[in-house]
Amino acid sequence: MSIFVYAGASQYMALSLIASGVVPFLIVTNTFVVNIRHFLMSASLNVKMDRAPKWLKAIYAFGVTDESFSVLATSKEEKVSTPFAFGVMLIAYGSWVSFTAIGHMIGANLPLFLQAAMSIALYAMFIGLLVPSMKGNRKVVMLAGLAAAIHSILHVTGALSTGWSILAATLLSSIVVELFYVHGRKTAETMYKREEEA
Amino acid sequence: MGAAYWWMLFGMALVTYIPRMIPLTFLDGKELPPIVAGVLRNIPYAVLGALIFPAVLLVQEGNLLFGVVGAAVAFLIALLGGGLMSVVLGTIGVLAIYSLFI
Repeated sequence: MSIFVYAGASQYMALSLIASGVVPFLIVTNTFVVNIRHFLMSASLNVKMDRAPKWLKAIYAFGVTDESFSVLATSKEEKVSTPFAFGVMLIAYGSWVSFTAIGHMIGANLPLFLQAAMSIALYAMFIGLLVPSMKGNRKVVMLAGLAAAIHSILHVTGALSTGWSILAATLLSSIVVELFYVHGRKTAETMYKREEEA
Repeated sequence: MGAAYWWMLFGMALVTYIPRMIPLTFLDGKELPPIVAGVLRNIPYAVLGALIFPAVLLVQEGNLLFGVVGAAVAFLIALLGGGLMSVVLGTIGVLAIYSLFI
């Protein structure tokens, strides 16, 4: 499953659904809902990526995950080159497949306290990627904070399933903050003009 | 594992790949209005926020403090200028020690 369905959350979900005897069609639908957030990520990545033939982009689209997207999108370069993207994604995909196999063999033989501690690794990586961009950049702080707040509220109230909730929180936060900044810039410009005229 | 399983696997592979592929190929080379491009540039930071919270607090079912400690340690190491590896390994290390003693 790890070779074809390159999406961790979907696999977890599918396993629990198979175990409880849900029909395959619903499992596929759920997979779609969980993965719909990558639609936004790919659209965003498209702005950041170097130009490349469409078929090449169609290939590395397979490698767009939360992790590879975060690494590529927060890179300090103005544009991300295609070979670099392939490098990041191949390493990620290779370790994904091979460590699924290793994990399968080791199973639950890791000491419990280590298993528990490792569960934080993914989020620690996300935090490690986010914080350097947050430093001295109020816009980034607002974006992350607002999206986190919206997603937390949607999660607690159970209004949307996780896939849609992440999508909604991300989109809403990105739009609201962008409008706020565009509006702020305009007001500053008109004030500047008025001062000039005066 | 019957045919139904493989069809399900195929379906899952398809709906995983399609949302990733369409924007990268269809938006290729198109000039977007600046406001749309601006929103798209914001997405990485917003999505990281939504991916981290509230999930980081819920990594240990029924033990909120575990997630709080983990998130705090990760933020602290990152704020002090630690690289990606030191954030990840440092946080795992602290939590391993923490869960040994609690």
